[in-house]
Amino acid sequence: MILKKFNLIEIALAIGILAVGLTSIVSLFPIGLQETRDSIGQNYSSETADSMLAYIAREAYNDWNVLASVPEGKPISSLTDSSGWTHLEGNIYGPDAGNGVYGLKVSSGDNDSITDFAGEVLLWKSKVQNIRAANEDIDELEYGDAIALHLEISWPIERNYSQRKKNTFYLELFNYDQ
Amino acid sequence: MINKIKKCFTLIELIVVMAIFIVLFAIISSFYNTAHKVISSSDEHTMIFENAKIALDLMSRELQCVYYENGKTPFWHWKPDTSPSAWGNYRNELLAFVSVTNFSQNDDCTSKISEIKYQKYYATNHSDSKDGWLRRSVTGNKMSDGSDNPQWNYYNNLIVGYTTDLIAGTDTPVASFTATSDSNESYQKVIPYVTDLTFTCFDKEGNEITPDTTASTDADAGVITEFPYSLEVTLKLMDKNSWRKWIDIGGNVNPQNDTGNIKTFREKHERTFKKTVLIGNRGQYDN
Repeated sequence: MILKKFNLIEIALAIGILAVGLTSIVSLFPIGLQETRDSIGQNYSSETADSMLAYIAREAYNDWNVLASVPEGKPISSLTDSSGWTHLEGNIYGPDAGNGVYGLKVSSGDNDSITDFAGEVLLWKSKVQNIRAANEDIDELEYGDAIALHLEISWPIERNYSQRKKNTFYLELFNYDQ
Repeated sequence: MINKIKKCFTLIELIVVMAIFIVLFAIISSFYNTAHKVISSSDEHTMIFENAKIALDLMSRELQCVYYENGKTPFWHWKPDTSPSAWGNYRNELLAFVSVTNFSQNDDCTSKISEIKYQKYYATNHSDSKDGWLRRSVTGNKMSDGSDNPQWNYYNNLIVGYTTDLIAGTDTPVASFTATSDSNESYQKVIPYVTDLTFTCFDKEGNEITPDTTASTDADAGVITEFPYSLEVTLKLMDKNSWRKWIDIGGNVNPQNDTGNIKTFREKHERTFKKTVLIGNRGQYDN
């Protein structure tokens, strides 16, 4: 009775196949991690957008004229990093606010020394259209009466604008104090 | 008799196979270690984010439903310069306001309008089961004896979870109807592992409203602090594992007093969340 054993080549082949299998499984980790990072980024962007819209609404209701400086078309991205920004309130920064370009930065640490999330906000306006008020169909409202604000958040700030993740938000404000 | 010839591995073959296996194992395990660390860190972050979202969503929803009545509804932001010992475990920054809630009406509250209070529990040692908890209490419009409350400022001690068990006094306590998660205190534990909770109130122009800094346990009658137009909530918290490690290495019950490596560890694992809540004009600017 001759017992056939595995030879070295067979074992080496088996290990090779095992290695390929394990490598393909392990290669899924980075994909999963990237998805998690994206998901965290999405959460940060929507949370900070909420605060940003609250901030703009307060500024607008205090003085409607501040909205006059908001550009009508989508501004051009101009931020490439999160250093040297002017702090406005909370996580909101205004490095180029006059042109509708804001920064959002979520920081941790006692002196905000750790940056958790940094993104660019592009803010622009358009006229509120197609609404029905007081039994009347209105095609378009003037800026003095109402304003539609568009907000695009893109992150991470270090990437080129075209390669960033992006979320867009929309808010209609009505000047009920006039 | 037939000779049985068994072909076995030679020592060299075994050594070569073992060497290949060890190299492969080393490569895979190092990759696995790295991946495991990143996944753990990502899990920690997700847990922190979920806790923060629960707390900030709850607070912002109730703040957006805040109720104002000229001269009657209090809005109290208490931020003492020093922590008066008279406050016992209630020395941290506190926000108290009247809000329209979705609580079911009952004997303690016959309207949907209730008083809400938020505060981080002030522990003196980490063995306290309430250490690191953000707490919330809801108080109805009825006194504990069933009679009506005489005014909106119906708490003489603006303390989260105020009951006669906590503060000795002659005032008839108001009825709290939050879920009682501890044996004799009426409050809800919202989220754990909180290292700091602060508030910044703003008027319509965006100027910061000065909080009440007096070391008094009794609120003044009527409007306590200026009713804000918007406010910012800042919440700092950790994940469960980091919180435990931080305590093990000697984290201070008042985290802002941490120093050296303990502070470095906390700053690395603690995350900060800020939320701006717009309240708007509820009548406070109509006078």
